[in-house]
Amino acid sequence: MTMHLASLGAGKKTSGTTTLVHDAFNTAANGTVLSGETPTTGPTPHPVFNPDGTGEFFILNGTADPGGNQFPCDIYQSLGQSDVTMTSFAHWNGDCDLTFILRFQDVNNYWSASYDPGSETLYLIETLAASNTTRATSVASGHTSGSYTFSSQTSGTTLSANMDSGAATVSYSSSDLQSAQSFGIAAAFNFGAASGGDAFGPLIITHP
Amino acid sequence: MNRIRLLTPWGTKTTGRGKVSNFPQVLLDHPPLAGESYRDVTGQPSGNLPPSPNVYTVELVCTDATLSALQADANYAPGILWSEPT
Repeated sequence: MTMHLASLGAGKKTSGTTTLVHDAFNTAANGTVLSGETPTTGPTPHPVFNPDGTGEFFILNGTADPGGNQFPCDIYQSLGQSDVTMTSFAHWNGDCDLTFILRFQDVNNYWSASYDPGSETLYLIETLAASNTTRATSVASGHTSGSYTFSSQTSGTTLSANMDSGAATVSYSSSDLQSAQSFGIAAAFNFGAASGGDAFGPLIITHP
Repeated sequence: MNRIRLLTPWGTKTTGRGKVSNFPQVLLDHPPLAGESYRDVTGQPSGNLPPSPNVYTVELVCTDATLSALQADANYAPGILWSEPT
């Protein structure tokens, strides 16, 4: 799966599917592109929730940056589509949530699909007017550690997310924020022993 | 496994990224087990959840053990609208 994903490029059309973002997470905190890494293509992510505003710092070479307790989030703005498929993979040794931000309008209005390996729970949460509502959950079994594919899809009024090919799935229908065309990725880190070795990436966003 | 619809109040839970989210109280009282899932079937706007009556409809996919526990729970048994094996 990883090799296949890495071969895609932004704007490339394959079998009716257009790749909007391929982020290999190859940029260091100081802006240096790590040598030898798969190039990142597509728009530059906008760090919406990053507490220090330094940019794409939270995933280095696919490995969580041990920079402290942070709740970073990168948003890829105005992708031109509201119906997309997002795919990444995660390798968990710790307890670091991985979150896809869906149909982001602003920090008070967006959807999120989040997997918490500690509780093995997949959440689909609506944030509207700064009020969070869990619309769907699903609990997996035997997925507290290991490498898994994480994906989500927005299609019309349907929002869905999938962990490890159906080990946990959530789906919900709503027209809220249906026209929003920004998407993103976020992680909740608690660095140290609890999250040692958690790694994510690359992130692929395609249409449809 | 069983698919059931029941009435539950809203509660709150701190979920991923430390955010406090409106959450079905029934899942706080009966935490979901592996393989179980929940979805809101009422579709109330999250910014306009009526505080009174604080009740809405959810659909659960749950084990026999969870269904039995709900049927034995006076807080939820009267609010079970229907159930069916899946």
